[in-house]
Amino acid sequence: MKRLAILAVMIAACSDTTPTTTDLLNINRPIDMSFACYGGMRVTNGTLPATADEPVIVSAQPTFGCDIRSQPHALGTPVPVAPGQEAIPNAAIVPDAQWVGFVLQSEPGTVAIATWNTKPSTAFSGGDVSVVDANLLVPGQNGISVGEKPVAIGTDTIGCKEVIANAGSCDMSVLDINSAMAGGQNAIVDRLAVTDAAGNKVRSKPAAMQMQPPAGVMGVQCGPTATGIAWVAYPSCHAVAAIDTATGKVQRAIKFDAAGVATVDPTGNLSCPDECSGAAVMPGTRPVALSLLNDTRVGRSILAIGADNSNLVPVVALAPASALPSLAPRQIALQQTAKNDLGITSLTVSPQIGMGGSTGVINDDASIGGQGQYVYAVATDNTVRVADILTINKECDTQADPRYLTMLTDVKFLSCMPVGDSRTPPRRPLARGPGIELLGDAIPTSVAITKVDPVDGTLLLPGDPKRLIGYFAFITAANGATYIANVDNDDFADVVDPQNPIGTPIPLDIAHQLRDSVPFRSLLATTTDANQKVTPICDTNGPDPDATTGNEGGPRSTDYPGRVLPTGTVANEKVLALPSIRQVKCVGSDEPNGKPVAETQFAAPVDVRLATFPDLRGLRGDEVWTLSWEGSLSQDTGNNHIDGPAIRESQMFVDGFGPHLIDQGKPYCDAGVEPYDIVQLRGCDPSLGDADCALGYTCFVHPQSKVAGIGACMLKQEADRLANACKPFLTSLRRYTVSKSTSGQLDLLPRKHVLHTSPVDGCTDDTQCQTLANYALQLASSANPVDDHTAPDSHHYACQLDPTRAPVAGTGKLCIQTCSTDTDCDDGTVCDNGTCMESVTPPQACVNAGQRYELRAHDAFTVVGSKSGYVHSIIADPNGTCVKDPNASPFQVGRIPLIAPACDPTADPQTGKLPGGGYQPNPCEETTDETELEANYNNLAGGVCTIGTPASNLVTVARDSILFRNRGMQLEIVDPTYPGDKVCIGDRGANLGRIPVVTAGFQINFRQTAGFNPLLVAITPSLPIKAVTGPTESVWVIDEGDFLSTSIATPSTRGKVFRFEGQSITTINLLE
Amino acid sequence: MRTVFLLACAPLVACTASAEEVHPYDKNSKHPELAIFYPTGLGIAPDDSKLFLANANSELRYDSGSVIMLDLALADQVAGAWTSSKTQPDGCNQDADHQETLVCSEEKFLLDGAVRIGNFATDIAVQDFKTGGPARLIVPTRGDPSVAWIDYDGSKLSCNSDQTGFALCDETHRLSYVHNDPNVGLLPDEPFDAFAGKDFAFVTHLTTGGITLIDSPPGGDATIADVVTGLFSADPLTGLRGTTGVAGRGDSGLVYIGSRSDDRIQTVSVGRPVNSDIAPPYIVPEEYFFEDLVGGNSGGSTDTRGMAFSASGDRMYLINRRPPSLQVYDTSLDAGGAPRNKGIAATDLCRQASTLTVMDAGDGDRVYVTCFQDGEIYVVDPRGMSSVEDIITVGRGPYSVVAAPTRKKVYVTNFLEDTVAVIDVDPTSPTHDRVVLRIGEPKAP
Repeated sequence: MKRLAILAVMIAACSDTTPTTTDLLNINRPIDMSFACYGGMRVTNGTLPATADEPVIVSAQPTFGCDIRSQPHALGTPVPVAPGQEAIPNAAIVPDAQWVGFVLQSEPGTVAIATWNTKPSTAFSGGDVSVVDANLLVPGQNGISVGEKPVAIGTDTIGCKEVIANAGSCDMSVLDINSAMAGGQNAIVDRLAVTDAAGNKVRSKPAAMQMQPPAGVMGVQCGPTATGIAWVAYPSCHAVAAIDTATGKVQRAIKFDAAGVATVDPTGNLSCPDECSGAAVMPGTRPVALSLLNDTRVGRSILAIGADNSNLVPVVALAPASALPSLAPRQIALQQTAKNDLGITSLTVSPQIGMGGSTGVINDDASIGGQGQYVYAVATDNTVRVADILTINKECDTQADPRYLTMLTDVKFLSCMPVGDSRTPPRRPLARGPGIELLGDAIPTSVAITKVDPVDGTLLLPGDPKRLIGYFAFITAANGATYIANVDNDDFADVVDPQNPIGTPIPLDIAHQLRDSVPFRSLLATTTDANQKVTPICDTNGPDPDATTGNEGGPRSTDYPGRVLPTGTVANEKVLALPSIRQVKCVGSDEPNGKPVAETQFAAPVDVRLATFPDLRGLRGDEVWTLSWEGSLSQDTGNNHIDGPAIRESQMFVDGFGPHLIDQGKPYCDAGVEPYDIVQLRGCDPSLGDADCALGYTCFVHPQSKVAGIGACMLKQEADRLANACKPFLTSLRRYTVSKSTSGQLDLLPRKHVLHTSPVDGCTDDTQCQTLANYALQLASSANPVDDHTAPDSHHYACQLDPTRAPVAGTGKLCIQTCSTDTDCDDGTVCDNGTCMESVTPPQACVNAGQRYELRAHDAFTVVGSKSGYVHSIIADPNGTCVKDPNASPFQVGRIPLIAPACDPTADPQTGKLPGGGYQPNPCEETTDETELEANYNNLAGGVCTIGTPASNLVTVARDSILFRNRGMQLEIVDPTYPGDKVCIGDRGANLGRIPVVTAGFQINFRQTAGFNPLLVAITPSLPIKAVTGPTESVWVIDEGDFLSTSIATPSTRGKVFRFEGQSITTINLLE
Repeated sequence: MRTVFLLACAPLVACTASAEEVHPYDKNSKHPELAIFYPTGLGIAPDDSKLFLANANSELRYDSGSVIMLDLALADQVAGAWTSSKTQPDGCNQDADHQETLVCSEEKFLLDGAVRIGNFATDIAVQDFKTGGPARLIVPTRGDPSVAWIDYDGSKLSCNSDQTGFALCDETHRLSYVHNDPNVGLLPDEPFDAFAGKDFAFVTHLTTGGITLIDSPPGGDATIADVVTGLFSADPLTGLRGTTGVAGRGDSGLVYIGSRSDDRIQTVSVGRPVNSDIAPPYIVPEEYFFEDLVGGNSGGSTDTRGMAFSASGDRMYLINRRPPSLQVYDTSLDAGGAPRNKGIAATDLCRQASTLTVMDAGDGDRVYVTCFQDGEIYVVDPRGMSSVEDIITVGRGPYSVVAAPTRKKVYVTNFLEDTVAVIDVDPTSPTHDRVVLRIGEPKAP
């Protein structure tokens, strides 16, 4: 005791401090669930009509008994009951029956019992379901012990027994429902050994089980054995067996050959390793997931099988009466991953559905899209794969880029665009494969499909995302979220409505798409007057995206895109010389003469908004987009993980070929580094002392350095000694050009100091360079050119070729600062062989410490989303060299240069696809209409810059622009270069050529809102592992995970079970 | 609380340091009952011949902890005879509660060549020099705090220049100062977990969030080369910053580190200056990622514990306590050789899961997770979405777990009962996933 007491102190003192609170253990590691009906039943033995002398008992009974009792009925009318169970004069009253849920709990090997009344889904309000104590003689809420490591549970065909598959003992258990409900301490649990046709025991560990769907006759007393077929998956036996639950005998087996192809063995022979006795397991296909659905509407019964190491999904038609195969399996091949490692971990079969329909009624028998039936399979590529198993028998591509689909009206094709079909368009950029992707790193764990009927008198209006009518998939994810996917949304358009295209984008129309949560996508910039007349307006940014009631409307920028100017580079009066996002003309009742609005704004014309945001699903719900001139390729700041650390650290090695950065993480291709990109060494921050350096190193600042706030980590005992040898390195900006990028190494070149206003078409001579140097200085002046007295640039620039920079168009030359000594150069550059350099090749001893640095794009804007990051198509070739992926989507682009190849006027305006095949360049350069306010100088010709009245005129003029497309947006950047002003600001009369005005640090940014935001069910499981379709269109989510409370008011739990209604996903019942 | 405790510990250590009678077990001193006392860390010799075991001396009964060696060939022999023919050698008895288990005194398996170390050892990382036998043990100890480095020549351990038997590690082998210079820096408090690479080791720190790099060249002395702090966020409730699990991805040079206060996994590598005899190596922070795949509604995966890689390095398995889960990451290399670091699967675990090991005993990887509170080992099959395949009762307070692939055995220290559980994990064995041998008589609570 003493020892333990001491230990307790020590553990508390020195080890764990995780707070724990009292557990409530009603539910303990649930993994599966089944449903039964229990209550009053007149014993008619199936003979109708019933008679008054027939006995009435309380018993388990076929589940359709409770289905009927759960049907809606008018107030004051009797509860509907199965034939024979009606009230009969002078006969005993048949007591109510109730639903019973059996929750299988893996770790204790028990079944917990939950009950709830039979009533329509609409009558549920929360608190309807409660856990029953199965053993009143033992304190607490108890379950019933059923077996060792049970993995699956199902109700037998006639609703009298629960059948459990046990992986721990390689057998099955049969729980008698009547005994369980009569007081669990006397519950009868029989072990059922599984035997093959020859009588040999099957002792393999089951992974999944599906019971023959409910049938049976009402009014028949339960017998001693279970009834019906249980399909059990044995992964180590590479087979799925149909087992008679009365005898345990295998009736049929579906066996997988070495290639993963399934065939039916009608003999019932099954040779499995005795896993529970340690027999060796041979490699092979491992079936781990089953789904069996009997569609009574069409009389079709289907069993689908998923294996965790195969992309083949066998689909077996079963005879509905026997649940045994009636045809040979069809193999649906799901598209493999690049690593050839696709597997299935969970799956579900949908009913046969009449696809299409938008009127708020379910129209399975008469649909414009024809009949469809699907398998939804949770795949190891962390997507949910969808395959048609009715007519096409192929996998459906759920990631088709909507840009290609806006004109399509073929609902049948849109309901399943077969993977690999010539009509199926390309996928949206960065799609992992053809499957449904959840958001972020969410991993799907399970899926259930439920039919949801319309609700009479619902308060939910058409278009409300929570109003479900049709067929929907509920997808649980390991992160605790439960997503909803539209399988057949019968309450929404099936194709893009030409009259309301912005309200009917493709991702909301077609099948097999995650459901969106943002309402009123069709909102326009309008106002309604007292006479209900709707007129357009311009002075609006749309609904408040941060409203407590949630966001509304379509994708847009929340304001006019902002610009960030580096201090001292361009005067505010001259920002019009800088590139900007195209403006278009808006005319509204508030702006009858029109005003310029950015193409990203809510007030932009509808066709512009549609073109700017062509793929709703390609947009994150809300993120800030930043276009940075020569911006960083990586933005992670420590609290996020998107595209890599903004400041990296690696080792620098110097040899005869120059400096190299080498990183053992091999991050450079993934970061998107291209030749001529910029490496900006960041050294260390001397204001932090030596904190940026390794221990034993110091942050050394050379006394002659004019680069503020940057030192270099050097060994303490060497710093002073190396100061002189390292001076050029230590006093330079340390900005290098990447000459070659491989995944683990960047070869660097010292970078010459180039005038930022060097013409994009190349300079012609030194004189032009000097003129442009002066122009660069004048840009910082707010004066009109005619009044500008900015002193000329005293530095000297020469028009030269620069092999350390990307090739330049035209003459190919750049204006490079030249020198005789360091004093001839700008601060932070050093004179080396007559050229001012932004960096030098340092001696190795100067860079022996770890080097912190940024990776920056060259000669282009980086287009970076705060959630999307920097998107690019750079991959490593077989030699490890970073190259553009030739197979990447043309929209997988994250840079906008100042000059680009010309756009092709014959290209498709939405996709850029060329008539003859291929795509126009992205980005590409063209002339576009730009609407802007032009200064109204009243005597420009006279060389005077006085402003007239009005001060400006609204004009729409043709401007040079760069057209850019990425995953979810299309932008036009106008005025990438500027010709200079001659007399007054904005007159564009200087004819300097195509001159870049941008400098490092210039940014354009805007907040994009109302992108795709998935609808999630408002439940909070820790680690949901299974979604189960329950009675009356309910969905149950089995949460296996622990919830560790840190609040005294909230209990810690070892798993939960949530129930919500398809017809009201906000009505939640919780078992814990 | 920890500070108070350490202050209380200090005089105890001081008072007993020179008392011969309170030395922990020396085989020559005939005190076999003392051989295993609060066992924590475990390591396996590179050839699977010996089990290195760290005794934490957590009760402070003796003047030091120790690292002892157990003969695994003999353990195999005894276990094999027991499982095949129920043979009970002298000093061994059938476990009264678990009839498949033979309980033997540890004396039978003890090998000469043990050493003494500081109190409260937490782990053993084995640095395999891959030259045919020699190896080095890196042993963090919380009491000092310090990190002991112990050379293993294939037969015995040594950490004292005088080479005497069962010696206390000398100051050279007890690392407390960066560059062995107190003016440069101290080893942060609470050294916790350790990983050893080919010429380095990393140690995490439970309450400071620090990461310590130990330069450990083959044939040369080990030294603390660098310490980095601040890579992880503090726990918003406690304000503590803690680093916990550490594991290396094969020979890539990348080391992954987890935290008890942040859901971040930070990767680091070792930078080695060139053309310099005096510039020490240093920690290079590499990319990081977050454990986003589990815990959105429960804990946010902010309490990472043990981490381990598959033999190929293509999978990383990670324990998180909030919520209790084993998370599986795809760490295979992309075309450029960068690890993908993508979460791909997760399964529920016991509470207070601590450490883990991974082994393929013939039918694919299995992950063995210690459940301190429950006295169990969870066996997780990581295929597909991953699932708990078995739960093995091993004894009170399972602390560390290591695997010997060639023996198809897993070994577990039971901290609260002073035993080592030997689990047969051969999938073809009738005693698969059962404790077949318990080394040490379980001490009464």
